[in-house]
Amino acid sequence: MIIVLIAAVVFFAVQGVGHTGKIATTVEVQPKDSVVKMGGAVIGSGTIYLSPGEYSFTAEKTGFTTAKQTIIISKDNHYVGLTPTPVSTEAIAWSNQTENALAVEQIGSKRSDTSGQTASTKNPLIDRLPYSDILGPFTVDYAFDTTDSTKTKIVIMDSTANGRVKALQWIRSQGVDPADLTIEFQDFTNPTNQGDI
Amino acid sequence: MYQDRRKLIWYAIFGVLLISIIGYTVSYFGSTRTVAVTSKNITSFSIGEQDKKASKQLAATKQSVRVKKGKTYTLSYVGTSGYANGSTTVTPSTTTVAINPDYSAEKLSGILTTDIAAINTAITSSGTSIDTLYTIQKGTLSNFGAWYFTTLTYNGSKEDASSDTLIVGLQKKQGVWTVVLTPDIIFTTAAYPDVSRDFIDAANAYQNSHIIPVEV
Repeated sequence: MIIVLIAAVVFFAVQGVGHTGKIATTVEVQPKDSVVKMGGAVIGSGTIYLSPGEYSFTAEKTGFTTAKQTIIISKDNHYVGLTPTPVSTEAIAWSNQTENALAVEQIGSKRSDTSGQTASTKNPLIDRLPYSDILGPFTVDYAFDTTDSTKTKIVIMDSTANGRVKALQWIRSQGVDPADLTIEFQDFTNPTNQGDI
Repeated sequence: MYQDRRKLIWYAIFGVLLISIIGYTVSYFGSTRTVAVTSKNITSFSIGEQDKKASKQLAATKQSVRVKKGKTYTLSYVGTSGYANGSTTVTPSTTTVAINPDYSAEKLSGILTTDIAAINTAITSSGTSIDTLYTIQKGTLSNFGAWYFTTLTYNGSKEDASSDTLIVGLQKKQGVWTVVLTPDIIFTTAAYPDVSRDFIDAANAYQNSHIIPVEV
């Protein structure tokens, strides 16, 4: 009995020391039997302990396209939600079942919050967006890269030529150098880029 | 007895003087620090505490100056013939100042007069319809006559959706002017990963100082 107790105490002490400075990160996946990998190594879903930093996760399953997520783990940002997209007939049938569709939606919702937090960590300007100036006129907002949800671009919209100059002034006034951003001017088509030179 | 008293007074005076000199020396070196200075193409430089009129004139050959700890200084220099005069700030954390003035405005103006036709030809061929849609303004040469930035002002109506004034950046490489940053509103390192950060920063600084929005 005493040996068991000592063993238990030692076990939990070792566990505690092993997790010092690490963050409990929840990894969820739908379908549940998808193969979850972190940096190429199979880890499965559940709770894992990670040091703060950037990690890439994937979830693979036959009949589905591989889901990918890159996340900067911090004490405020420790959720990974992976939902491979159904492609085959069987996979689509699975995803159409109400309980499965609901589970996928819940993971997607949690992941959206996480992506926003990751983007804010990488680009502090995002916390102050959207910003509009009707006298510019311009609106500055952000959007996620379509191929990598951890990358964002600044979108300047509802603007005139004068508004775009004011939008750049506003970005600078926030302590952000436009040179460090990816900027899309929605209302501007560069006339010098049209057709072959 | 009288002579002994005189001797004592002289010893006292000497002692006070010695202590004062030692005190001043310790205090001076304790409250000041050395800033290393490297320079070329200057005749002289001067350094003075910021917001104070007094400054200390120094020869170009001087390789270090002592400044008060915690104080900010302005170091001004006079360029040799063909090189610009200028100034730089010496903050409390500055340990080294490298003075290397750019060409003088007169020299850059002379280079620009010679090169402007080649520069404008390069700009015109860097995009579509630049010669008809835009007026190429007279820009600025910098970095020893090797960098050129200018604006392209739109010839059409200000009401047109894309009537923006554009910036263009060129570099002189092996004697040939080349457009490095093609006409655009702003430049980013993401769009130009192979262009030096200094050049992108200089182009964006030109945009910030030369394209002033109209206050509505």
